[in-house]
Amino acid sequence: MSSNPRDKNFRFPLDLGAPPGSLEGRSPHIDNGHDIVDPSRYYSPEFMRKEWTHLWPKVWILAAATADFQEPGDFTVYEHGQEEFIIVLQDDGSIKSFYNSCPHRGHRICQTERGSTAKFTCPFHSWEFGCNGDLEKIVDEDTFNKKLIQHRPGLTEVRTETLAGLVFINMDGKAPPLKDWIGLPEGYLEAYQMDKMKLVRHTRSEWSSNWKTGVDIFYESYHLPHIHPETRGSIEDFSQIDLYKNGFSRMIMWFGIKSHRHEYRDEHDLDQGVRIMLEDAGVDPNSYKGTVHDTRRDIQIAKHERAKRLSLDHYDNLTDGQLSDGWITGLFPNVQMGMHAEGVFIMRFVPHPTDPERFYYDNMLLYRHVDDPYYDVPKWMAMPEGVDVTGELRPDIERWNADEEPEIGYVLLQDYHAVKDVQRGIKSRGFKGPLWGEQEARVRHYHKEIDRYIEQSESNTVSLREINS
Amino acid sequence: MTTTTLIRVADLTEIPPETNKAFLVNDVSVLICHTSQGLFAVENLCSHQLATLEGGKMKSCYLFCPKHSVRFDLRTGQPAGNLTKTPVQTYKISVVGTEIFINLPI
Repeated sequence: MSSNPRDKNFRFPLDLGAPPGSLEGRSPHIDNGHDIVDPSRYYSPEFMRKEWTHLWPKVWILAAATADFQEPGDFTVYEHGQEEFIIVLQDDGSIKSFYNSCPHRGHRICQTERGSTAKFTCPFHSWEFGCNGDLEKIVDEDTFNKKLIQHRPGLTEVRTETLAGLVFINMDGKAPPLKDWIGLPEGYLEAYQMDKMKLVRHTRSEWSSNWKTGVDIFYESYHLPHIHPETRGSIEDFSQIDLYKNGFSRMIMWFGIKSHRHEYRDEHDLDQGVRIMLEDAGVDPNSYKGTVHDTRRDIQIAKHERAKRLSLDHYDNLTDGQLSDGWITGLFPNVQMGMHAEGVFIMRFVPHPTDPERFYYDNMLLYRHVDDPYYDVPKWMAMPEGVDVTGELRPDIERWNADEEPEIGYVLLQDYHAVKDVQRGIKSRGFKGPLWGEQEARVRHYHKEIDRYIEQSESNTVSLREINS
Repeated sequence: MTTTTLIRVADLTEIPPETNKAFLVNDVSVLICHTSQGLFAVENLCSHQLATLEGGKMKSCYLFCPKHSVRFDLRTGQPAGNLTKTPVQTYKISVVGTEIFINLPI
């Protein structure tokens, strides 16, 4: 069977033909069935409550990037649903996390988005805690009954682990070690050396839909030629789809090549998107002599040559496809990362504290700065003019409320508007549930995993009740 | 229009890079911050709970209050976060040789 969507005898799914077991190889088949889920999961407070009880406390949640922490005492606060966490670098180089809640009366202890400190002091009654969470001072301690405070109440710690430059937390502390839980092939994330990248832009916009409606749209490329028609000339929307264990997944999208749906006048009719990608790779599109069939390959060659000139050794660990294509990677349950040698585009879909029909869309851009006049931030990062990309100072989060259109770039705004329309339609009495096709296999895959968490926890609860009765 | 007077505060050698130190100038505690972005002078008083800012960690042109980590932009005195919206007083700073001067309102 052909692996080129342009061939007449091509049939989905796409298989790039890489050896099974390699990073690029197609994952073994996983059958997630073809049932239709109840659409109430996208808007019901009951389903939101189930997620808050059975899903979020049990999964590893991406809370930060290690680039956020440079010296002991550097901290950041991460908000997730009803919870807030203080994540802080320790003297020994490890990272610890704590619930942002004073053990005295529950007041939020840290109310600064990020910073650097020697201790945390609660604003309410000035109880003091070390960066390791230990209680250091109770104001007027002699006015407390000794028995009440004899356990020296410190900050409540949350299990924290790091992998490949990313920091994860786990609330119930019972999850398997992070490395075992991550469903991706061994070495997949590490190959990009995210630990050597800096976070150069972080936006958080409030979107008017359930968090899963947001994940759903970004987990498939089926919508690409329709919601983003201008991408037809530079991205193939038939992707290789790989489903991994524990709800993880990946789609490989060919960049720098025309979609099989795109008609062109002649073989030198380069699309604007392809011209930009050539330029990003250091190729002058105006003097480029190749044809529409050569662009993707020539982007790979140009990036290899540039990496050699600039001694970017991590390119040696990446395949040709990783240099040109989008390896769009899903971390269960609420993260998608566009993996590229130059930088990683992280999307995080953060549930709203109370409203199942809102979520926060986080965009975090990790970028490896290269001080060279012929090397610049790739255009796909949609970096506004004037942003410091050296990574010297971690930028503040740029925030937009639900009634404000976020400055996240033209293409993402198309998704922003589409997500609203999906959410509205999902609630219709006429909508019976999503009919996910093969191109949407990643969507079904992570929903199935969510269901497993909820069903397993609920069945455990029932068993416990039976034992007790 | 505010009238100011130029007052010598300290010698540069008293404030090594990446440190800050408070000096009493005309009954005002002034914090001189020697950051990676240069020298800055602010009133040594957090606009949140009136703690002294001396000893607060610095990153680039930002100073963090040692008590509740409120972040102040040393260029403008503006705070970040929810705890206070009131900026801290900033002073124009100049260096002649190794001597540090500030413009203090009179």
